Amino acid sequence: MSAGDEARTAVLCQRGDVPDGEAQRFDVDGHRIALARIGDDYYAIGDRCSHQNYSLADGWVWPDECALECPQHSSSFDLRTGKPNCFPATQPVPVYEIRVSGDDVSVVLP
Amino acid sequence: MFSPDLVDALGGSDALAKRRRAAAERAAAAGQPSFTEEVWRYTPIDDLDTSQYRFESPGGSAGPAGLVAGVDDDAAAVIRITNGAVTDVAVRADGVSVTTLDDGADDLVGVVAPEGPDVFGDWNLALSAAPIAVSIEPKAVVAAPVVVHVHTDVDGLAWFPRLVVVAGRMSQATVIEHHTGGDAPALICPLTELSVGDGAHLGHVTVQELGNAAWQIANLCSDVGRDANLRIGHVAMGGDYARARIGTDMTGRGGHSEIDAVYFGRGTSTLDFRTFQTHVAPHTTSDLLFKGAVDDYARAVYTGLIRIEADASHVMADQTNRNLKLSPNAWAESVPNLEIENSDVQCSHASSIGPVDADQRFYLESRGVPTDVAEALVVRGFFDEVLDALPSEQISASVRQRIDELVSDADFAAVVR
Repeated sequence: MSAGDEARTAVLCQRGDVPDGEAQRFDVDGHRIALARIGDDYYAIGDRCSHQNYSLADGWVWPDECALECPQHSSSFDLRTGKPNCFPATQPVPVYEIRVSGDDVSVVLP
Repeated sequence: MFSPDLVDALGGSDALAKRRRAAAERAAAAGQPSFTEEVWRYTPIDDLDTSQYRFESPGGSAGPAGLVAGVDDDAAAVIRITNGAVTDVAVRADGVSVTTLDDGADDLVGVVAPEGPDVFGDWNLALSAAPIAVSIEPKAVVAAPVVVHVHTDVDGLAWFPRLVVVAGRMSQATVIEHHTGGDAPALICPLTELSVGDGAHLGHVTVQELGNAAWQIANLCSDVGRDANLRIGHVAMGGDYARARIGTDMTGRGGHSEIDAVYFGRGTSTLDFRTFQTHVAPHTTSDLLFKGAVDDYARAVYTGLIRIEADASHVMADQTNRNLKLSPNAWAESVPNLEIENSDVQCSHASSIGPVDADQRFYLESRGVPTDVAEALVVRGFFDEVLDALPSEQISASVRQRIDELVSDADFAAVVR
């Protein structure tokens, strides 16, 4: 985090805690967040599928599409925009900004 | 969840103790619900960990007046229940009587909902330490409202407020239930029973302004008699997860019920509404209008069922839910349902979820109204019809003002559905 930046952040985990190509759920300050890792990149979107509430972190990460697929009905969500790529979900999920500094992977709280 | 043994420490008659024990055993056997069940769909109920809460009744001082400020001044009765204990009962008008566990509320508990309607309803019967019964005498016309303040400010408290309202035949009254809370986490599972006698007119308004960490799982059960009229208003503004299950049983011919709800979700709160308009008797009518806005990361769920039993001919029932999304990260779901077993009825349902209407905004902009003001005006207009319908003008006015304040704060960034 750069000096003078007043954004509120919370450390989710250490770099490497989430295996490459997988996702994990974190509950921070009322937000339910799915943190996905693709190589050295981390993405965070709302963990509840906007279709039926299942935990997206239990689903599959698709590195080529940069997407996270819901384990229940297979809607996949773009990790960059939160928008669903396919039915049955129609509404987007929230997107959170991730910062990696040193070994800490942090989320910027809105 | 909770232990049925907690029942043993509670007061009341032997008959009530027996019913409490049965309810606790039923609830313990049912266990904790899961969001995969239809009535708990879209809810965070799987995140509920009851071991984080303590079941106690420490009492305490009254909560803030908030949205019902000024209503107490000329109320027919004012009742305060704080942290599981009745702290004050003041009856000021004829025709109204208030009883507690010590003087006869025992027999009235369960008059409309002898069990359930869900596992939290059963826990409420088992563990409601301080039930309150409000009785309106037959033919009494009570012009001023009966106000019940329910306040929770003890960290980690779990408790079960229970209110029974019995409106005698041909009586008229309005009951206002006001739920407030501190910032600490708490689990509050209220159950309200409304028994509307033949020809009675009863109004009931719930105003919920809990703190951001509170969980509320509320039930409202009602029974509407012959030619009776029930108007329910529900205002939901707070809570981390706040659920209201509202049921109206139309059991007397010619009865009418109306449910109007206003909700405004902010932060990361989830507001959850389940409604059941059940028509048992013929020539009954019901009308439902739920309007809400979700901002920030808030979530809102509405599911409603109109059920028409086989003998209920000549029924008219309507159900409308409209949601306004004020933030791209907010989320809302609306599921209206009909179950009709009689062919001679008129039923309708409608629901919508969307951002501020672009055409309406454009129209106002084209008349020289700045964009942010235009959007605030549209939100204000959106809530107008449902605020006008609430059974208390004083509360309509204070909620209207609160929404105005919230809307001028709201960030109307590009909203995407």
